[in-house]
Amino acid sequence: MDALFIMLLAFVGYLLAYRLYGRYLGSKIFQLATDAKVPARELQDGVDFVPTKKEVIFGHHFTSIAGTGPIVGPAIAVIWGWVPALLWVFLGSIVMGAVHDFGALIISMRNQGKSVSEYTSKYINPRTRFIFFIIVFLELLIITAIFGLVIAVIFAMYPGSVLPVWLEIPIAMALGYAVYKRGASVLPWSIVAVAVMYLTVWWGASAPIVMPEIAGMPATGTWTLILLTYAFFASVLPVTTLLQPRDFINSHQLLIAMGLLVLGVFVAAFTTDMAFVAPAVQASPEAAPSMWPFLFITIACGAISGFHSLVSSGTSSKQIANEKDSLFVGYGGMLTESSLSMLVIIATCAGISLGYTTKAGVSLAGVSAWSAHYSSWTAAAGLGSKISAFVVGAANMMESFGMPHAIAIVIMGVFVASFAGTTLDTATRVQRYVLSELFTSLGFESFRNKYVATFVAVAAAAALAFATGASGKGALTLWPLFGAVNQVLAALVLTVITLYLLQRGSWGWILTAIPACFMVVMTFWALVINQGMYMKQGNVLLQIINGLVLVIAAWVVVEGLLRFFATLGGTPAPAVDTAR
Amino acid sequence: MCSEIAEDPRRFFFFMGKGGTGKSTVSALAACFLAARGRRVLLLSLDPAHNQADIFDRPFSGRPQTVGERVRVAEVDQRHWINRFLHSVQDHVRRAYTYQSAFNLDHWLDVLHDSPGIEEYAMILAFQHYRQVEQDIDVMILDMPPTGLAMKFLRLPRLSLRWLTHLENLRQEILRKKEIVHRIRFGRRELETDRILGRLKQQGAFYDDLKTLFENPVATRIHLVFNPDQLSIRESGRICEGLKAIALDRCLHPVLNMASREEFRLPPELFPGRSVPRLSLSDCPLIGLSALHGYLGEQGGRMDFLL
Amino acid sequence: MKGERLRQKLRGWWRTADQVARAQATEKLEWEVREMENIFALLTLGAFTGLPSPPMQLTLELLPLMERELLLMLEKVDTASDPLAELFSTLNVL
Repeated sequence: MDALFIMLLAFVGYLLAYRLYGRYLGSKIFQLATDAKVPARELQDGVDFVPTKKEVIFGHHFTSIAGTGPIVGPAIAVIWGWVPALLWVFLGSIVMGAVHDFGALIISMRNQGKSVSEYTSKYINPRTRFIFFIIVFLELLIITAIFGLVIAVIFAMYPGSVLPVWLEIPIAMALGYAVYKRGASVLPWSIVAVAVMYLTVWWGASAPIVMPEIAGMPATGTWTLILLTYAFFASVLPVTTLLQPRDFINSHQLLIAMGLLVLGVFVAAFTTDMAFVAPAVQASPEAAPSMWPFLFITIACGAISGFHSLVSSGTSSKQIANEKDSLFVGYGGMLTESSLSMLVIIATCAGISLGYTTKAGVSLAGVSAWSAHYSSWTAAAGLGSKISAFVVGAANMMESFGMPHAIAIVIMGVFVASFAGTTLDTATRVQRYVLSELFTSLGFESFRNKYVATFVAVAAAAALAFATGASGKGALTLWPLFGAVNQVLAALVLTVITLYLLQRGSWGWILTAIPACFMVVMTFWALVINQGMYMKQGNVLLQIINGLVLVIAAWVVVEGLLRFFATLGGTPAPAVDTAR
Repeated sequence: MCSEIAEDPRRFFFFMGKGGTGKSTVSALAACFLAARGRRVLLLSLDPAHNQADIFDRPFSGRPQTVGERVRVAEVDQRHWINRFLHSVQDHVRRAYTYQSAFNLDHWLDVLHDSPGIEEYAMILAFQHYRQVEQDIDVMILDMPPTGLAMKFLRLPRLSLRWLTHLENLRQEILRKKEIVHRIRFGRRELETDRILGRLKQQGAFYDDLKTLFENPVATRIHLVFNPDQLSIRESGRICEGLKAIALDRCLHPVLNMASREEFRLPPELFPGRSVPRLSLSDCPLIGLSALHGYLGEQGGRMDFLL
Repeated sequence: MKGERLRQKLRGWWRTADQVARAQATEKLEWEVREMENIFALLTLGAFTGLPSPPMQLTLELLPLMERELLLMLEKVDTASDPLAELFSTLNVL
């Protein structure tokens, strides 16, 4: 019952925050006005700049920012207890994350829809473009390694999900063919595709595929190699062949999964004795990094995520028809994602209490069910255990309204794996462009060839994955690194928002400066601790990457402070076309 | 277009060669020779040096002037054609662009007068103009500028076509994708016709026509005038290679000019399998119509290769 | 009456969802088209920014039809924007 209570309380809380804090920020601090000029109308061209209804932008924006991030992060972080995780997700998103997304969207909108790296170089200085470049490069490298492992781990733990996830490929390709070559209407056919996919789930549940240990390499290792090979091929195909159709299927899966989770919480609350079995707070679990600062790095996408600024300033800002709509899209979008994270916390901490049967045939319930996953940082299968806590917890809740457990497990496993798969595909694709740019400008002509660049991208990811063990445990060491890079970017964007408000003479800059400082401090703290740890372990690759992120973080701070004090000292605002 | 070229009875004789080989004089002689045999000739000087005025000892302009029976001469003013082209671009831009103040195009276009590529294009435009306007002639003789510029002129259609094919393909791909986007977004298939693609195709047709003309050995003859000395012979070899590279070797007709020593041997590998006509040095300076006729009276037989 | 209102609402939701789906479907394609148009502009008008380009007359023949591209290019030269940033946001990685 308390799970339902928490969920409802959180939803009410989000609504209140939206209406009170969000509106306040919008009207008083950013001074959004209905009659202000927006790029969607000023630069209207029927292609990029098109005034669009806020619901449509929201749908697009939300499905772009939601992914595996808001699921995996909280699933790991509840090791420190459900209260800190919940508080960070709830409060962090309201005061930091949503403000970050909101601000990024507004600034882009008021700068002719320019992307965040463009206006960052305007508000701070042009050198910051390199920061973006390097951050994105590192992030993509880490993502490709982690998400390959995530899927591998899911395959290893839930062999029933193997078949549906691979079958998604032909289904997506068929959908792509229908829509792009045959002119089929997108929405109805993508729904059909999702329905077909759920049929395969039912098939997969009865036909699990287990990967044996090959030549001493554990199953996860083999799967990782296979998945990275898939990423290689998928990312060189045209987007309309595989990637885009997968996106449609994923968006529907997201909505369905969220619906199932909410329904599950409701029904389970009344028909079972589901309760929070996780400890409220557990500041120093065994072998785990300490809660301060790692909680704030581990949960990125559910509370605040730098990468959202790229989406805000991508297509969304070019379509806002009325300045006031940006509240719904930017602020509202982030809060909705945060609510997904909150559902994850409930599933992992309460849903799991309904018990499950381990591979060894032991039946666990209540606290012991939770502890089996979270007794230590690397308990059982490392990252795998944390994800499975979510999958099992969610399946338990769904079972309460009649869904067979095995099917529910596969649905959730497939859900996480599909999103991770699309991210893997996209990240490899973008990384290829980044590497091409970087290396051809350094004189390596061979990188013009897309296969060479893609191969290097995939190989680098494989190196990183295997350097950490190519297993669930390894992925767990990488996750804080992923979070740290993401939060450095978030800190940078918050700094830009702060400078923007400062230059407009609004005292509201404090409201974004505090989150910026908070993120900087937490990120630095975590990076320094990690560096020490990697040095002790003697892992050179991780030391280098971590070190690089440290340098970038320091760079961000220095640039931000320089500009901050310059602005306070009276340097004029950036010249030319500041609309408002 | 190709069939039109096949049906066009006119012939185009180009005379090119290193500076000083006597090509302008040879082209003037050729004009008189052919006119004497009943052909209506237009002698067009594309050479900025405008030697024809010196040879015929009278000024010429862009408007063809009658010189003797059935011979008309005109000199192309390159600057005039460059100006004409740039002004027309300026004009189109002014009419088409909405956001005028953003970009002072006039400034740019002044600089472009001497841009690489403009000279040969001006020549092409002039050539096409006369080709279109002068229908009542049998032969058009073209006194070409020195080798470098002449080769650029001959190469221009091919080079342009290479670029145009590439650009056209890119444009078609863009349109294909746009069509898909359009169809998905708005349910319709058709886009408005792409003016850029239209222009690319139009340009393609323009150059294709020229290329076909140049490569047609019946309609086009490229007379390479050279002298009996090492440098001239070496250069001719190179020009030959150059023409082969643009598939114009079948139109090549070498002419050895100022060959005073009859026994002078041409290296056999220079123009294998061909007999190269030789023109001998004239005793007196070939200035004025009567001097030209005089030379033809004596040595006319050597110019039978023109028939 | 109530049933009618409900149906209207459902139709409204379907329409919104449909528009989202269409927008998603075209987003990446549109990015590709934009990139290709940029390349096309660079190829044909590159002379104005010092790039190797086709024979000048091809550029000039196309110039009257390419106002948008020209202005875009000049603007891009001015702000030194990076296409990668746009790429990141369009190909939603996370």
